[in-house]
Amino acid sequence: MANVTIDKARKAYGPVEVLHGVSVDIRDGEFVVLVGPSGCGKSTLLRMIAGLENITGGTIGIGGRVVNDLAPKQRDISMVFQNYALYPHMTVAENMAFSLTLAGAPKAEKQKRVAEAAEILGLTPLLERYPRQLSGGQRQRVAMGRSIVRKPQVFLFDEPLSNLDAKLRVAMRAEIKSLHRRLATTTIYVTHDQVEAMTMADRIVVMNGGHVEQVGRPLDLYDDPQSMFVAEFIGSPSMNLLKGRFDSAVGRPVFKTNDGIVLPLPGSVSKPSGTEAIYGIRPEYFTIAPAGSGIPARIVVVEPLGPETQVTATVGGQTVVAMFHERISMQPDEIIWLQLQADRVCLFDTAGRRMT
Amino acid sequence: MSLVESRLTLTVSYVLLGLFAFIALFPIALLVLNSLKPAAEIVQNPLGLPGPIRWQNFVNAWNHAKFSKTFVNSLVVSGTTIVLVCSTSSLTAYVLARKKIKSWKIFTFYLLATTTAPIQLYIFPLYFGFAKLGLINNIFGVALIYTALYSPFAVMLLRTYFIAVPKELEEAAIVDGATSWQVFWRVMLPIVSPGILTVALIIGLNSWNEFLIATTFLQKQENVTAVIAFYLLSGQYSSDWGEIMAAALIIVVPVVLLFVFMQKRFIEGMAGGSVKG
Repeated sequence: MANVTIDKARKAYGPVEVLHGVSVDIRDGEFVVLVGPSGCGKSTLLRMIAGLENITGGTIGIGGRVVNDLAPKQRDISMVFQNYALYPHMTVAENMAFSLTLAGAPKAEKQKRVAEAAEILGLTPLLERYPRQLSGGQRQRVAMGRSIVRKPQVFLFDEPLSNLDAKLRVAMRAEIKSLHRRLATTTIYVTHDQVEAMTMADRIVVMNGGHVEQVGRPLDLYDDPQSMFVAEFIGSPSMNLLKGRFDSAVGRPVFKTNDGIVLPLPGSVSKPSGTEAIYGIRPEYFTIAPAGSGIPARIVVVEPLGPETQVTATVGGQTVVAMFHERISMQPDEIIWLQLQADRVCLFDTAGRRMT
Repeated sequence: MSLVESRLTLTVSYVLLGLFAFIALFPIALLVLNSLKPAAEIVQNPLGLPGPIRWQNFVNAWNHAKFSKTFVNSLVVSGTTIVLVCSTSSLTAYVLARKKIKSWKIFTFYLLATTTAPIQLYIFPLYFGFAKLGLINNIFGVALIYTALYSPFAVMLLRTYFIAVPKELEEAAIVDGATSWQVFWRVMLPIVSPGILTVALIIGLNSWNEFLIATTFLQKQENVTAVIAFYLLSGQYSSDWGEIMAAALIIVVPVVLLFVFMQKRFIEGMAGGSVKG
């Protein structure tokens, strides 16, 4: 087990720089998820930690040792790939023992460690099968078993669940999480799925365009996004973002959307009237107001999901999504009156940075 | 497109396929038939069934063509060629498929270009070169020529096999602690083994059947390959056609057997299951 220190790591392919000085400190035993849209550099960063990509600038340290110039096998890491990357000509047992075989481990030791890992993952009856005889979930487990057998200091996962169907993905998510609890090995997990990030991570690193947008615990990112990007990326449905400007025409500071709809502000906010900004509010912080009071919204779609109802509506010309715990029997084009929790509002400047 | 073909289409297909099968198999049937007849009967009635079956043709063929010796020569030449081509081409193909070599296009073009040059163009300079080196009548020398001749094809074919292997498999092996050689030897080579088998089969067939180079470079009786020994059976003034047919059959048998046995592994894909599929 070890901590991982990424200090101003840069990666460039020729003149194209894909990582612009990323710094993240990962504590010993922590489960950290790198999340972001495709092309944000999260997989590249993971591959740099693994040693599969050169590091153009900065340093990466594992367990207090700078590993920039070390080969993957000297870094004491193991990696689970998106498409499993099982050796097709080897049985499950041989796949899992391959790293030990290469290291010249004695046969008894190999058998013992493979048996242990197989036990943990429920692979014992499958040890003599070939990868082609396994289902997707089983292959994924073998790939994890191959990692466990090595007892590495750091586990690296590169979108390991994206090839599985939705149901299996949820099951494997829980399995990986409980595996981490059991082994307490430092884990770095890459995904583009924010739900995976939210449910699995001790801390999330949100990346965008080769930069780290924000690092924090899942609910801290959800409640307190430092940028519009994080606000939109974390949470599903994502945060509503309404364009407008500050106004004090009604005697107290309010926010007026571009269409002239007045929205409440938290008491502490006082910005010069006329400053442009973006008003962010999560769907669940809306409540239904009595007709004639609050914010009028024209319904576009009503989606009953069972435990809650999701309503898409337009406020002025801008679309908002609201979630209600009650069931709603309204039709498109009807007007619904909304109230919102002003203390939950996030305000962003026009560059997308958090203001309050 | 409907998956069930109409009756007419099926009929036409089967008639055509039957015709092709007949064209392909008729000469072989004729060969088998006539290998069991005395020479005189072949000339009189080439299409008829043999009267008394004459096994003696095979005995004569075996003895006159010295197959006990020339077969071994053929096996040595083909085997050496297969080993040399497979080992060198698989290494070359792996490098061309994976490592980013700037000049690989030029190299590939060079490989393709060499396959288009006819043997006649360079057989004389090659002969004199080999004569200087004392490699005439050396069956390993011939294997060396075959290796040079068949390598471009083998490299091009194997390269496509290597390209089809997902890159993650190599990366997984590297993370598992494999050296470049171990990645090649323990991961890549077993996965592309169907390709190597295909190459071995094609190269084996070609070198077994090759005539021009073998007849040019192997001149002593005890060094010739089976195909040349077969050719030498037809005399200038008289030929025992029964014996020649029997000899042809003897030469063809190992090739057919090889194909029949290897066919299954030939088709069988090893890559299934390595990645989601």
